[in-house]
Amino acid sequence: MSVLGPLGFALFALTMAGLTLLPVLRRRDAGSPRLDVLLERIATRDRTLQELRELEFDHRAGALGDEEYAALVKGARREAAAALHAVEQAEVDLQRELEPAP
Amino acid sequence: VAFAGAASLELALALLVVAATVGAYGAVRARATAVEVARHALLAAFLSTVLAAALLELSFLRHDFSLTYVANHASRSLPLGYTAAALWSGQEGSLLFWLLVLTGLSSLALHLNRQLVRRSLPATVPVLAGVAIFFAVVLVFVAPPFATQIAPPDGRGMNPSLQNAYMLAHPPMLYLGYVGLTIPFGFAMAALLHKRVDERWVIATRKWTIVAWMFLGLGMLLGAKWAYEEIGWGGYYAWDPVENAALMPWLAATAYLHSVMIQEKKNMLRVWNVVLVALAFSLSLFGTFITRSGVVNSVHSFAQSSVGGWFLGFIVIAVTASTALILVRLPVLRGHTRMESVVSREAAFLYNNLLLVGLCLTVLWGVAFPLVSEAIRGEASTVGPPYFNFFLRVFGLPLLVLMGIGPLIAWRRSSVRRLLRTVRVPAAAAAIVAVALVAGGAADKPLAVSGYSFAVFALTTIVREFVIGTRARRSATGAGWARSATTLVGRNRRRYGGYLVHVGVVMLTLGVIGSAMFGATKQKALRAGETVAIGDYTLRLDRSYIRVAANALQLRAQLAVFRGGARIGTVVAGKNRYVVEGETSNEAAIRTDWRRAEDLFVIAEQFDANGTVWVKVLVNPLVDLIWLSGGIFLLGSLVTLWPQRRKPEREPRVAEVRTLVPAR
Repeated sequence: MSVLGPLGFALFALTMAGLTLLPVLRRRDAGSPRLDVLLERIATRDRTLQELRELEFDHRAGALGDEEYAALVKGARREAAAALHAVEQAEVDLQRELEPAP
Repeated sequence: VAFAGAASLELALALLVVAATVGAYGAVRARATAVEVARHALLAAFLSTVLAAALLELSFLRHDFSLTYVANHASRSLPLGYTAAALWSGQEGSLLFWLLVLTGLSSLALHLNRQLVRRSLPATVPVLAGVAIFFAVVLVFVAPPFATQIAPPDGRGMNPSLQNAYMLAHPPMLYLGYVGLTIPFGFAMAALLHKRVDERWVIATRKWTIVAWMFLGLGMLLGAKWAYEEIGWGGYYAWDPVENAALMPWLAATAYLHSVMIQEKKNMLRVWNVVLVALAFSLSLFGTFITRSGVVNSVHSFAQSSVGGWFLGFIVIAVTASTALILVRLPVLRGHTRMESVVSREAAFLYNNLLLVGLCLTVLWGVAFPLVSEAIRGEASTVGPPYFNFFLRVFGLPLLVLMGIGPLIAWRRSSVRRLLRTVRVPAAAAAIVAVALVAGGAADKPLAVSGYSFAVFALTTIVREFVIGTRARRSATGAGWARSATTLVGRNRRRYGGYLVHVGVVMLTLGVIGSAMFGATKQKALRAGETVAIGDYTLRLDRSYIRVAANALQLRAQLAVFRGGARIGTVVAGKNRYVVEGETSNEAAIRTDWRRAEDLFVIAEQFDANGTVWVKVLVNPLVDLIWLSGGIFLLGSLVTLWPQRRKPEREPRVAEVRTLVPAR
């Protein structure tokens, strides 16, 4: 066997080790529980807004009558508003955490 | 090559162990750097596997028969395309390809969702690495592809059945499908481990599931086309255990793709969704076990070896661990949202899920029963097509009806009265088809009549949805019909891509029922000049001959085809005798009439020394709709996968909601 084979492979293995350890050179924050809460609430907000769109589409397409739409959209709007409020609250909480204490 | 190949697999295994252990540490201790190191280790493992696969491929192209695997699956006379595809024609190469796809897809999924993984679901890295470790261990210790021997002058060649163009694409597609299901499994398990069971893991993996499901579906269709052309019995699906092995995870993934919408929109069915993800993943492992272990008799059991026990052990670990995790996390998984009505789109999705999972489990029982029977009673028994066909009808026909009803029902709540009003047009179309079929002489085929009626019912609903949506869009924007239709699809690609997939399912149904229930078969021994008549076709044997090809002796029968007294073409059917491999394959002749979507299928079953050729002729009506449905299925999937543009109206809508209900 040529010595170039093992040498070439050793070089490849070293490169892979370097690639693996690369993040050690640029450390990152893991984030915080508050950030996680914010991201979760954003996902909920998007879901509730999407539901509003679906209701509107079903109404326009005739799958929902005016009365049914009115009854359903009321609850959906309430949920969306609550989701928006929850996002705002999570943003405030995160901001407080990020700001240095006086 | 053997040294570098084996060493690169060992390196991949070592890197995967690093990814799993460092990733687990990072997840438990919330160390972002450790999670990133683990993610990079998984990427490095992928690159090492790429090197191993490239070296094995190079060995095939150079006919390096000092590698046992190369010698067992290629020969000097094997055409270049098949030589290149020989990588996945046997056990060791298939497992290497599997590891390659798994580490590649895992690295890509983790990179695209790196923020989510680092901040919220770091355990995804060790879970995905853990699955990859299993395959790497099997490749390093049980089925090494770089085992060497004293090089023989020529290899043993490739199994003749695999020497078909469809086999170049069929196995990789299935692997992409099987392996792709690992990605949602990894994210789902991580969500459970971190108790972050909101819909973020669902959104992150939605497209991955669609990709896996699409490849699995296309892989099955290509496999059916291969069986149709290569096995040469005139059919395309025989409920073979290996065929069913791909069908089961596809059914589970289909159920998940429907139920996941309920979680995204309503935050419901969270337990059910993680169960489906775990089921689809476990079934993909079970499918590999069935294919690779040789525990069942199958036309697809090309490789039988000792990996079966390893797979069984890993399946037990995966099922036990995921079930235990789901049970432990039940309190956080259970949502507070309840279904408001049994007449709602959510309910329709749930019924659809129950039918799909029911069909999946009955197929699983049909596949597993011979194994269970042998283990308990010591005697092998088989479960034949009648069992599977029965349950396909039991679950499939209601699924068709639900496919039609689903889009007509509103979310949350609808009324039976409104539902009956909206199904009037599709129901009338279905009734017209039923009456026409009965009047046309199909009264003795109630299954075909009901199947076609339900298919037309579903199709009419889909057309109605497109028309109503386009009309609503047109009235809102004032644009033309064409522009309104394209923007309608563009603005809700998931919904209308899904409808396109449903059109593919309808075409598939029409093709399966047509070819299975309205076909004809005839067998006859012919000498030159003699004819056989079937349907409105007449075939005349013109001549038989032998031709020498690069890798086989080709026996051929040439027949002239007539319809309505006029000659419409020539077909050539025969057999290939592969000299190196010592095997014979059927080379059926297929004449397609695209206007009727019908095939004339000719099999030359036997060539006698006196020139007599025993032929079997089949007419398969509408069978080509099955292959065309693959195109529609692909189109629908791509529409669904195409990235959605950010909607500029989001903010005004938020403002509108704020005005309507002031925030507390």
